[in-house]
Amino acid sequence: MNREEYALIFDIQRFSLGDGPGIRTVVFFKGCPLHCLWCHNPESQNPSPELLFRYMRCISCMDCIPKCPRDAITDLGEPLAIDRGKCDVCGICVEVCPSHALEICGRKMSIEEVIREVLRDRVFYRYGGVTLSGGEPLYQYSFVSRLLRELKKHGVHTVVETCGHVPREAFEEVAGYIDLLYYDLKALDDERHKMFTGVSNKLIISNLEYLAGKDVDIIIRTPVVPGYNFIDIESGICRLIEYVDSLGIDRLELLPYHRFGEEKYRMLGREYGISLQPPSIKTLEEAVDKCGSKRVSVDIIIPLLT
Amino acid sequence: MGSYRTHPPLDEAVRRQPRFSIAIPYYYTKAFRENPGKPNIIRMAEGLRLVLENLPIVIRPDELIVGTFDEDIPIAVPRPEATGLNIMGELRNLGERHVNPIRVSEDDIRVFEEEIYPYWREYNFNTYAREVVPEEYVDVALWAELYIPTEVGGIAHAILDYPALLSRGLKYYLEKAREKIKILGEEADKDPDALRKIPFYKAVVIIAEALIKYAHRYAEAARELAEEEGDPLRRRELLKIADVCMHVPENPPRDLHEAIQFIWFIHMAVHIENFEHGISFGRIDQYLYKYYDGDREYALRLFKNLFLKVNEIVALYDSLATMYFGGMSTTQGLNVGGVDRSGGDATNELSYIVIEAIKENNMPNPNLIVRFSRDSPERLYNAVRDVLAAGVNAVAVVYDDIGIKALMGDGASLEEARDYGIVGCVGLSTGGVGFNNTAAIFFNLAKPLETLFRDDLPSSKYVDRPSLSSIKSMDEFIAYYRESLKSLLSIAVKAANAYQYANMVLKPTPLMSICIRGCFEKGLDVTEGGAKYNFRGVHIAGFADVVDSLAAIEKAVFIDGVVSLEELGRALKKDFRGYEKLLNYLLYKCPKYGNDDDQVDKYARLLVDMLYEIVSGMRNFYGEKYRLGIHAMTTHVGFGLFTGALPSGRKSGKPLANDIGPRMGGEKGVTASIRSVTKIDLTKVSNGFAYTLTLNPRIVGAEEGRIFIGLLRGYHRLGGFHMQFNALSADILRDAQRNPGKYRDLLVRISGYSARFIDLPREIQDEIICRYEYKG
Repeated sequence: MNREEYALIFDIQRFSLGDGPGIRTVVFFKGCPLHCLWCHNPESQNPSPELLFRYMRCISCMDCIPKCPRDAITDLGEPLAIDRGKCDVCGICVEVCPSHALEICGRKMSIEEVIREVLRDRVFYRYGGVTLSGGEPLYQYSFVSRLLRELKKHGVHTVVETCGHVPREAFEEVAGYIDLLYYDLKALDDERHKMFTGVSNKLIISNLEYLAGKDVDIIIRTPVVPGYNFIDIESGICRLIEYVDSLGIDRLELLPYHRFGEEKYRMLGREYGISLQPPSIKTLEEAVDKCGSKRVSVDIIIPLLT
Repeated sequence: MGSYRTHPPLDEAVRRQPRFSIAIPYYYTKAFRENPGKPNIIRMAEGLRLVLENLPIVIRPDELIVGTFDEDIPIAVPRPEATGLNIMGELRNLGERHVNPIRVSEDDIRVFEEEIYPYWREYNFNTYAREVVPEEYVDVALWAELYIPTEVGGIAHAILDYPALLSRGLKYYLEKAREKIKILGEEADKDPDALRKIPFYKAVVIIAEALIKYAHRYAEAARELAEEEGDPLRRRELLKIADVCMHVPENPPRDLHEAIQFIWFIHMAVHIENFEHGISFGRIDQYLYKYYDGDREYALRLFKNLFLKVNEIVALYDSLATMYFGGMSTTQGLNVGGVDRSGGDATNELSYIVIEAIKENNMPNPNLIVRFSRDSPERLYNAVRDVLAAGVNAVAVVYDDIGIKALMGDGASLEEARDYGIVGCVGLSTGGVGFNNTAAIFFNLAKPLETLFRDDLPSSKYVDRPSLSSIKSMDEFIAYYRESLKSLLSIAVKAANAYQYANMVLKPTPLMSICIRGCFEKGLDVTEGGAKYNFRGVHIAGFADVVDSLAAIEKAVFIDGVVSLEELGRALKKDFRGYEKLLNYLLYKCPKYGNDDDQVDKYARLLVDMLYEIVSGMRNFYGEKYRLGIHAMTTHVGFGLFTGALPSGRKSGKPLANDIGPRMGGEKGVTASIRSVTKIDLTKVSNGFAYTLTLNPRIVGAEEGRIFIGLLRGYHRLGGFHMQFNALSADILRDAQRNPGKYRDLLVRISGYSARFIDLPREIQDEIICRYEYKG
């Protein structure tokens, strides 16, 4: 994507903890080059707006059915069926629905609009700031680079969460305006990586090694999805810590798989690709204890209720 | 006394199920019966004297601070001159009742029914109030749905003037009172006021003597026990106790132990004389600091002892009142921290010791409110954070800037305002310098709205209902709401004033009066307005319900044109049966307060401005102000039962909003909620308010407490005042499963993801609850 006046954003979430230090507002950009099977934000993958059906809110009033100009909605589902092939996300059903059960995910916002929204919590950013996430925020890096510069002008601490699968020039443009970079490393093994995310990890590794040599604060993030990106947890974690250490990076976060994203697939009319029990935190802790290096500090991230 | 060792320790005794106790009304009834012709204030003094003479003397094995209401505590006391008679029909059921059961003995029931009740049956606040305001104003039908004038239970809610009492000792009052009686006696042939004041000073003499005697009874008991005591450590303690009780409260204290014992004797006796609601300590870390000698262990022990003892008495309510004032709390307020009279931060070592004592006791009372100023040390933030991270909920924080400004707006001087205390739960008050019953009235803000739509309510006859079809704009609607609000609030005020009058005539409170500055010097009882400030307060229930309803009406009726006012009225009357689409529209498509959305938040500001203007125009029985507050205690449950469906989408009978915060909760999270609330001019809510955040204790401790401090500081910078915390628990999560509508704002967050807890499928919710119970 090139120079754009607008970016496609699917959420701006305030009082976020765990996406960087302190109290933060997270801006979620829509569109991602990866399509990880375990993704807990499936609505972030498609770079276009999508229709989200919060079926638990539907009261079966059926008002949306006659109003859809594409006849994409029928009552043959539980409670409704939406033909995603016919739907062109025009938004008429969203207007009509009395329960806000239908929502368009993905909205065009200008730099000014985003700034205005994220600065609402400015008074709390004394220990905190703004995080750009998604999807892949650097997919829209021209917008993101201007946004980051605006944020720095306002004295805001910036965090970016990236999967790394973007052109090198994206990092060249933004690196100077990022206070902390969360860099996702889904799998070290390229074959596995392709199988479960849809793309090779070569570009990701290359960008990471480039950034490791620069003056950028990096935290590596790796999900732990047993049977997928980790076969033997202990040796997998050991290899990972070794690799991170070799880059001279001293922080790693392990994200044990969780199922909280499952529902969103249904809301998007998509199939959920895997079915798995979350790994035991204890197993992860033990593995980290065994393999831990003195230099790399490893945190295991569990869900937080706020 | 020989059974000293068989008394259970205070720590244990105070956690038992409370017991219905008639000792206090028994002796007051005796005093009233035996002195029928005497001025009421003297009968009251005699009553206190009789109680103190007849209370059993009990020193528990772990006590340093002594003086107890009974061997078998906690006690719940019926006040037959007030609402105590309401309990008559339920006496035998007290032990089995579902909410707040209380032990009761057959003997006590018999004495209460046969000897106490008959005296007060026609001699109580209600019979008096009925003579000065229309009977319907004093009727349960109106009260259940619209307001509660709490002074029907007696006056209360005051910060006692311990600084003055401690610096003088009771002998000062004794001597001065005797002098005054003499002087006034000499003036009696010239000055009509002279005779009026004499009974007051006579009452003071009776009370001061009785209190000193009571203390001496303990001194004697402690000495006796010391003689029999085998453990040398405990013997030393008992001898110290004897020494202390000989010295105070007659004389000013010489050390911290004496100061705290002095306080307890007074505090306990004030609870004997008065309705046990909101009798507060004020800034204990400030006025006790000069007695602190650096022995931290000892000070901690003394405070823990004192703070346990305040739980010896609980509030007694009949089952109807329990819906409005559930939990039996006496809400005894306690403050630490904040600026001193010259504006510098005055947090001291005692501030931290007090906080620790509260944390270790983990009891519902006293109710600790920590004052923060611009310059509060980081250590204070951490101390509060530690209490919350431990899951102890009983601490709130307030911010000086707003409190001081608000009180000055009420007429206090800058120095007085800087010395403010929080009385009860949230009441903003001028310390012991005023009798500002901040909880005089609880009022259902949603009812005036409801009466615009319905004519079949008890409140309806007091409101000029407009024809809904004639209302053409939101401004017009708001004007009608204002009129309805004014009419109904004025009834509440008239009723409350009637009870202030009744209290003055029937139940002067001489002991309370020497605890409030101004009364003793003037020879005027508190009930006569002897204090320097005599404000009264109105607390609102249902604030967010009305804000959301106004925003919903604006959108549904005047912007989108989805429904007319009349159709909306019909839907409300039917509790939305047959109107599911409309209900969903109101719930999900109309903006809600608490999401930092100006379209609805403007009504929060408007409502406070409107209330402030109306309340400022009203006067209490003393000709002084009513002040605006937003804090329901549990009246939001009681009122809610008697309030029908509202335009916000709330269904009939459900609890109303309890405090100043949002109803459906910031779906946008805590910071958005704070931004919404701080759009209100909080200095206008000078009676005080509660703002409760439900927080995961893990967040409180997270990142070395910097998240918590960041939240608090942000709130303060935005003009916030009060904040208190409810620890998120597995029980709350289970409640969210049963009542999802209450918890729209409960979020599960994990790096880069968030979902509402209530949107997750059941199995995942269960998994989270399971994890939560183990790891938090």
